[in-house]
Order: sequence, then structure tokens, then C-alpha cells
Amino acid sequence: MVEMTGSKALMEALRREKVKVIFGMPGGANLPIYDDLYDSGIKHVLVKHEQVGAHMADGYARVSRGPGVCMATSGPGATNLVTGIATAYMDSSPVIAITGQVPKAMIGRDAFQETDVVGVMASITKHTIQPRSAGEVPSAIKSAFYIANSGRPGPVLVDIPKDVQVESDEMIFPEKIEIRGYTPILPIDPVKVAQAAEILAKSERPVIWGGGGIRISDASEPFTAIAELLNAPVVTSLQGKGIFPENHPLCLGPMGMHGRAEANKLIGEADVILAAGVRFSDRTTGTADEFGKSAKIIHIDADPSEINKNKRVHLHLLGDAKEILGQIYKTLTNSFKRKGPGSWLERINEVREEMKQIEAYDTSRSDLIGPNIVRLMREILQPDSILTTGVGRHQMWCEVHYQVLKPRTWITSTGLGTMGFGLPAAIGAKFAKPDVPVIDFDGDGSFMMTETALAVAVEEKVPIIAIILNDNSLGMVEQWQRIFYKRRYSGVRSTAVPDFVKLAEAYGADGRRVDSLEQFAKTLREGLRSDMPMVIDVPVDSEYDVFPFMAPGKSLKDTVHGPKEMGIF
Amino acid sequence: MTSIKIIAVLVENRPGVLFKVANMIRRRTFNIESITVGTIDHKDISRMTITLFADDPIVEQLVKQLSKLIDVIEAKVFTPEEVIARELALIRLSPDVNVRTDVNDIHELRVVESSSESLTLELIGGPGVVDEFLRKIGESKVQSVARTGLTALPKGSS
Repeated sequence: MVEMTGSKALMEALRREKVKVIFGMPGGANLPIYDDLYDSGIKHVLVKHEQVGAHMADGYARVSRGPGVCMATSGPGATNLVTGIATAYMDSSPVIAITGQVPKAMIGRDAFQETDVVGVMASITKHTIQPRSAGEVPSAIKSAFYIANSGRPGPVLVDIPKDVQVESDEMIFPEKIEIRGYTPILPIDPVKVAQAAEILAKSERPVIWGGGGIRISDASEPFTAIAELLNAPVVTSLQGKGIFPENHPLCLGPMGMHGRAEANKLIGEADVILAAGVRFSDRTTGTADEFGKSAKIIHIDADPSEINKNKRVHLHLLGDAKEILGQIYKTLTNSFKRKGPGSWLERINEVREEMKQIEAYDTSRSDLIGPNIVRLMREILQPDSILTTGVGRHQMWCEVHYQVLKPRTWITSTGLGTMGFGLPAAIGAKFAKPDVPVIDFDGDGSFMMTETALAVAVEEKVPIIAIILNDNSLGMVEQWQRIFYKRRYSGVRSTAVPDFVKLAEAYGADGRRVDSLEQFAKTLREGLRSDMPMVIDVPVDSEYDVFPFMAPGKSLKDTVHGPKEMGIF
Repeated sequence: MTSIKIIAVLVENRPGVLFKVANMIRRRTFNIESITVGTIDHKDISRMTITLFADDPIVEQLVKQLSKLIDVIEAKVFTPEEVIARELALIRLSPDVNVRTDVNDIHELRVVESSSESLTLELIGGPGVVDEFLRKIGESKVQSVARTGLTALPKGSS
């Protein structure tokens, strides 16, 4: 046992968790922590807004598998974290938020910069901890890291009152922590594994559907093995892009509101759907009643509360997806002969050809439109390059047209749909993988929400590239107003979008504007060779919409493939 | 089917835990009919007994989400038939009232205070007994009521 202050214990506990970088901002209530951070050996990245720090920690976590850490002071510092923490919560990302709090004696007295952040964060975190004495700090941090990054991951808040930071105590740093109310991964039921294998073996038109859970449990290998063994087509949720190489002949791509046309169509023809690490989100399945109506659905997830939440399933398996899929694969290989390409694969190729004809909307033009830019970008980027996005049409064009080839190279906010996620997440991702190119593919609306992150990229010499599809509009909202509100463009078009080239230069980054695909390709290649952050402004037409499109409240079979079919041109 | 459900929750006896449990129930937009909380044996664990009206699948989902809270050690849902349940009420009545005892499942009913202005009763009964008793007495005769809410233990066989 050794005596030290709460804040020194915090540093020691963070070092023990092998924390290399903290994205944060100091203030009155965490000054003691910052004083100890000064010579802690842990890298601190000064953000200009705490939301940016939370997204950076999130991007870092999604790429590195480990928790990302952000830090803020009490009051406004803590409330600025909220959007970032909610984003991490919805996408099951292990983010640790450490906030300073006013001294215990001041809590509840409306002290300066006091916010009940434990109360505020309760609905958007996996857990919250407020150590009440310095001696509780080591176990609070141990618990926070354990909870955040086990089972179904999620953000954890540790709120440390200032007096707890400065008081001294005898410290015990636990090697391990047991929490009686918490079983991160449940044991696998072998009977259900056998049942799942039997259903799959007997299926004639199986579809394998994977989501973010496959990335989290690193289950791509058994996932791919099952798909190849069954010769079953693979669909993903938007979060699941990259868990299965999207250039694989069995990959139909993501399904959903802006999913691939063939994925949206063929899922409706399946007789068995193996759904692994997914949560049946409305954006992915459309109306739950219609989804998989004629199929037996097998659901694999780590979180019991996901089972039958949005859709009643025929069979569910709880536990770690990698383990479960591995066991199903093994059971299948014992009893099941590898399928040759039968009538189901013929049908798949037929639908693919059919959809190629329909997709003429996107292929008939050769100018600067989202799909062309995205496809060209894919040709230029190496397979291990990491792409982050904001939220909006640019993101959806990536969903449809950007083939993700490796897990953890596609970082996007799907659950909360947080505009402004892309740039800070890219910087966080680059801290996790400094040797890999990281590109933020963004829109003007999203980019402006967190553009101060650019100052961090410049200051820290993090050469990310931000590509802005700039239509001077909140394009996705404009698209909905065009389709559903008779072109009454209310609050979407902007006449004062800044000059992003000058803006980039003002921050000390390299700013470029391109007006053709050739110039885009050339500039992107330059950016990839540069050691300076680069912003590429790509002016695009706000009236060019994203298709395919399944309208909200509809089912996947109602997917519309172009503006003519939608009745808007 | 929408009916009264009894949720038994074992939790860490710590500040903020009641808030987290109630917050989850609020998130699913349920109205809590009653809630009782008390420590059990070692003082570091509390038992909460929560009653609310809900559909079976929805309450099943709620219990799964409650179980997910780190401070919740165990959460289970029961129907009134599956538990031994009691509620205590202190009921102050007009002195002239005719106290009715023809309510099933009354386990105790006694006068705890009597004056010229009022008569105060202690009533212990199973689920629904206090409501039924008050209904039979009639609203106009009841001066004030304090109720503990239902507390419950699963029946020995379950």
C-alpha cells in the first residue's frame, strides 16, 4: 500500500490500463488532475471543444479495440461531452469520460460550474461512477475500463470531485475486479448451437447478416467461413460494413434505408437469416413486422436485452459472436457438405444484373457527383486506409458505393447519427493507427459542427484528409423536403457557408478546391503523400439525391431506386 | 396482457442506484404504482419491489434492461399469484364510519388511534386489498391514507 492523492492515483491507474493518449480540456474542477498529468508520461491532446474530445476518444476506440479516454472539467465541460458520449453509447464504443466535479461539500448547492453530470449521463452511458474518497479512485478506474470494454462495450463516466482529487489516501490498485451484478459474456448453450447449425444446414436460401457486433468481437473469420461453407450471400448493417470484404463475390453489401438494392431485395427472399451482432434497427430492417416475414431468424448477440427487442426471432444465442460462430461452423463441418453454387446463387446473380440496370441513375453521369467521387476514392485508397464520415448524404453514398475491405477501417456514427463525428473521429483514429491514411469523408453541414478539430490536427501534426462534399445545404434534409414536403426548402440552404480553402489555411492546414474528378483524384493523391492535414472542398449539386431509398415506416421491399420512381422528377 | 406486474430487483445499496432503476423505468414511460426499498441481510444489498401495469413482452424487455444496469444484481418479474405480497396502510377515517371487514386477504386490521375526530386503522393485506377496503369505506369517509406499497417475496416453490 502506498499513500498518494486521488489525482496521482488516477494517473497511476490510467498508466496501469496502458492509456497512451487523453483527449481533453482543463478547467477549474480538474486542475489537480492536469497538474499531475503534466509529468505523468501520458500524452494529452488539447481539444477546443469537449464534444470533439469525446468523438476523438470514440474514433480511437473503434480503431484500436481499446478504450479511448476523454477528459473535461465540471459544468459546461461535462455537458459539452454529452453528444459525444451518446454517440459512443448508441454504437457500443468503449469511451471513458473523466470529469472534474465541484468539491463534495458544494455538490447540490448550484456551485459555479456545477452540473449533476452523473444524472445527465445516466441514460447515455453503460455506467457512471463518482468516487467519494481518494481511496476509491483506483477501483473506480479499474471498474470503468473493465465495464467499458467487456461484453457489449459502451461509454463509462468517472466524475471526480475536486476534494477527492487532492486528498491523500492509502491506495490499493486492484489487478482484477469482480462485479456481482455484471456478467459481460454469458456461457454458450450447446443445444442452441446444434439447433442453429441444423437450421442453416437445411436452409435453401440462407442469408448471413452481420453488424457492429462482429467487428467488436473480431468475429470476421468464423463469419466468413460460415458464409463460404453455405455459399450464402452476406448482408450487413451500416455499422457492419467491412466485417466481410465488400468485394467478395458473396457480399451483397449493406441493407437498409440507403442499402444496396440487391441486399434490400434478396433479404426478403431468404428462408433463413443468420443475424449476428445486430440490433434490428429500424433504419436497417424497415418495418419490423415485414422484415424476414418468410424466414426463420437466428439471432446471435452478447446483450440479452437485444433479443426479441425489435423483432421476435425463432432462435437466439447469447454470448460472444466469435465463439458462437466458431462453434456453429465446427458443427456444420462435422455434418454438412460444402454446398456448390445452386439455384439460390443463380437467383442472386439474376437480381444483381437486374439492379445494375436500375442503378443507371448513378452511372449515367461522369461529373462530380457523390457516387462517382466515392468510387474513385475507393480506387485510390489502399485497402487498410481508414474512412470516417459525418452524417448525411455523403455518408449514405459511402454506404452504397464505398466498398470497405477490412474490419475497423470504416468508422461512422449510425445509431445516433451525429453530424460532426467525422473529423474528430478521423483524428482519434489516426492517433490509434498513425501509419495508416485516415480520411474524413464529410459534408459542409457536418464539417462545420466540429471544424475546430482542425486546429488539433494542425497542432498535433496529424495529417488527416477531410473531403467536404459541399452543396451549401443540409442535403439529406433537403432531399426529404423535396420528396415529402413538396420542395418547400425550410431551413436547409445556406448562403454563407465559409470558404473552406481559406478556413483550412486559417487553421494552418492545406486547403484545396477541386472542380473535376481528375482534379479530385490528383489532389487526394497529393494529400496522401503530404504530412500536413488537408481539406478538400468539393462543390456538388444539392439537388442530386441518394438512391436507393426506403422511405421511413416502409419495408425493404418498398425500396425506390431513383427519382423517377419516387415521382419527384 | 396488460396487468399488474411485480418486479423484484436486488441492487447494490449505494447512492444513486434508486435513481438509475427509476430512470430506466421512466425511459420506458411506465408509471410506477408503488415501490418499496429496504436492505437485506448484509446491508450492502437492497431489495426493491416495484409494481406497475404493463404488457408481458414489454415488462420482459424492461426487466432485461434493468438487469443490464451494473448496480442491479438481479431483476425478475412476477404476477401477483407467484409471490407472497403484503401492503401496509395507515387509514384515518371519520369516527362515525362503519368499518367493513368483508374484504378477502386482509391479514391484519386494527385500530391504532381513536379520538372524537377520527379513527385510525392499521391494515395489512395482499395485492389489491387496500384499494378494495378504501372503495368499500367510501371516499367521503376517508380523511387521509399512508401506504407502504406492495412488498413481495417469490413463493417458496418458485
